[in-house]
Amino acid sequence: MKIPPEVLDKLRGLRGAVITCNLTGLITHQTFDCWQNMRSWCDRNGFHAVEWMTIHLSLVDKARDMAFAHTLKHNYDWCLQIDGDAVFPAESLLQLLYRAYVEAPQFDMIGAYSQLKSPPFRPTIDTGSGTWENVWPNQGLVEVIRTGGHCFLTKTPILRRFGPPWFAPSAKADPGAALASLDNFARTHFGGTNPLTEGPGWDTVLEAVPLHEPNVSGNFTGEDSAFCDRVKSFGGRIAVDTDLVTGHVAQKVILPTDFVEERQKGHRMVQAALGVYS
Amino acid sequence: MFRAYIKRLAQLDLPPDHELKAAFILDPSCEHAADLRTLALSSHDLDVTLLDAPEKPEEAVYEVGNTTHHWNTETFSWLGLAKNRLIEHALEERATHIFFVDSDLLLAKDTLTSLHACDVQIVNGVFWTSWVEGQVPMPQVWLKQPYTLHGMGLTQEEFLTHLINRQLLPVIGGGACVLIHTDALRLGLNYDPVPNPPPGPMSQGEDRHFAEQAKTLRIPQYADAWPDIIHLYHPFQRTDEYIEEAFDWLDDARIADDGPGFSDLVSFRVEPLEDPKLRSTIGTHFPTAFAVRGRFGALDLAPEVESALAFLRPGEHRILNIHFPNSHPIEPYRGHKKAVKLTLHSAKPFEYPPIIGDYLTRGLHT
Repeated sequence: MKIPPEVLDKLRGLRGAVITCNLTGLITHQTFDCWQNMRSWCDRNGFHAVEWMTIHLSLVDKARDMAFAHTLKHNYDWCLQIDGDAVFPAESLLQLLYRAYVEAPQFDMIGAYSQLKSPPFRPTIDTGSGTWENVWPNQGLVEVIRTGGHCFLTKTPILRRFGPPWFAPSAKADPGAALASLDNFARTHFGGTNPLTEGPGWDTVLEAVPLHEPNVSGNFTGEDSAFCDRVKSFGGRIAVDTDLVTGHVAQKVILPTDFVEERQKGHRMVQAALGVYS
Repeated sequence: MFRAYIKRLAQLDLPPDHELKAAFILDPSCEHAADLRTLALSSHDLDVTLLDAPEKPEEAVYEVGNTTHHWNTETFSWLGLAKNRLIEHALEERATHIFFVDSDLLLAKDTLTSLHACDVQIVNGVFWTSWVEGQVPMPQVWLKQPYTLHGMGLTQEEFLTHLINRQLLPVIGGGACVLIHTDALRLGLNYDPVPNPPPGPMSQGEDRHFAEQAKTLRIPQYADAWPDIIHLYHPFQRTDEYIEEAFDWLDDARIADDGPGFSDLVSFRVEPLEDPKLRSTIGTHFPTAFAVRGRFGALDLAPEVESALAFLRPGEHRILNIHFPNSHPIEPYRGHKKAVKLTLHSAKPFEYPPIIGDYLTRGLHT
């Protein structure tokens, strides 16, 4: 990444915290290696205004809230939260800062390209479908309505618009009930009228309510998705940098099927070396 | 049937610099033993030696029933003794290989050359049989003792499909048509019974004991599904008419010796001449990778291989330089040329293997 020196100086001047949150405080050795490499890179390249910490002995949503509270308490400009099972390049912080403060300053939160641990291993990118979508890596910045909390940088101004808490997992409300509740809130605070009904947008949303299908897979939104929902509802914008790919350390149970697959792959490779491709 | 069997043995193509000598042990309890003896010794096209049969217990039973065959453990034991006697004879004769062929098999003329070209210590020529009349034909090779058709990384469907597609595969056992290098026999491999073979149908068969011994000695067995072999198993298959049709089928399933045409079946071998690590990898981990079988024109081959094959005649070889493009899956090969030796073993018009081919094209019929 070639960045002009004056821009680098600007980024070096920003103050922030890199924080890993989890219950046990344990991180994978792969994550530990990545932390070391990123810390070393930052130290060697003058990014000294960075605090490095872990928060543990707390459930993840509370730990994430503590991370943001700590960020605000020390008046940092940004907070980078990384999960304890993430694998990331040494220059991840630089890339995220560059995206957030130089290339695309309109975004309040930028996440890395991170995938779910379970098949089909989709990236946590929701551009508006309500599901994790089939988005390939290396497509540049993609604006989203939700992303996961595996590796994401948040600029502190958005944190001052709402919360704490920022990360409570939320029950998935019935949209009709949610609109009724919002309508009631507005009328009780604005002299009996709901200003949102004055434009065409309210009716447009109301018309979509009967199309809603109850979610049979669960009634709760994860704390990271709930955070994204609140960012959006308070006027924030979120993007995923699909050029910054973070791995997700997973356990794999090795079975004979793996051996069979590898042998078949090896057989194909050997035959390919002989000019036989099928 | 025996006459046809001997006639076909005498007609087999032979690998270069090899001669074929036949040795038979005739079942002393067979009512036609004298006729068979005369027939065997009167063949002018085959060098035949008759060996004395081991003593056969009275309890040994072998019957060809209306729908299947009937054996017992004593018969299997006697067969094991007989095969061991034949092994001793082969070793005394300083043969390089012993080729066990049951006398109810009719072989395509390229059977022995195909098995020999596999260049392994034990290889079974594959044939298909409805073990009980009216049932789906099955092969006489298996992946798990005593006769399981899944294992060694393959489902039953994959295994059968590979055999139908004429491939060379590692197996755990086989019988009735097997070429064995005498080097394997000099390691002590024979048909002696092993204690406690894996239980199941036919578990006392001498081929099962042989397979256990080969496993213990770490001598892999293979199945070569290239040659056409017809098993004259049921009474209706042992008539003169059926045998004559079988001969016609086997002899029609050959192309003229002017090289394969589009959609013909081809069996060829590609060997690396450079890259010793590749040769070592093939020998150690992928011993069948060099053997390629398929339909000419449908195989995805390097252009140099495909165009050379079109002009090769069975038995011929050529040294080629293959250029590996920048899109090749092996990165170190991209943009480079490597020399290989290409040998065409055999080519024939596309047909499914006999017996199973009938089932695949027409289904079960009574």
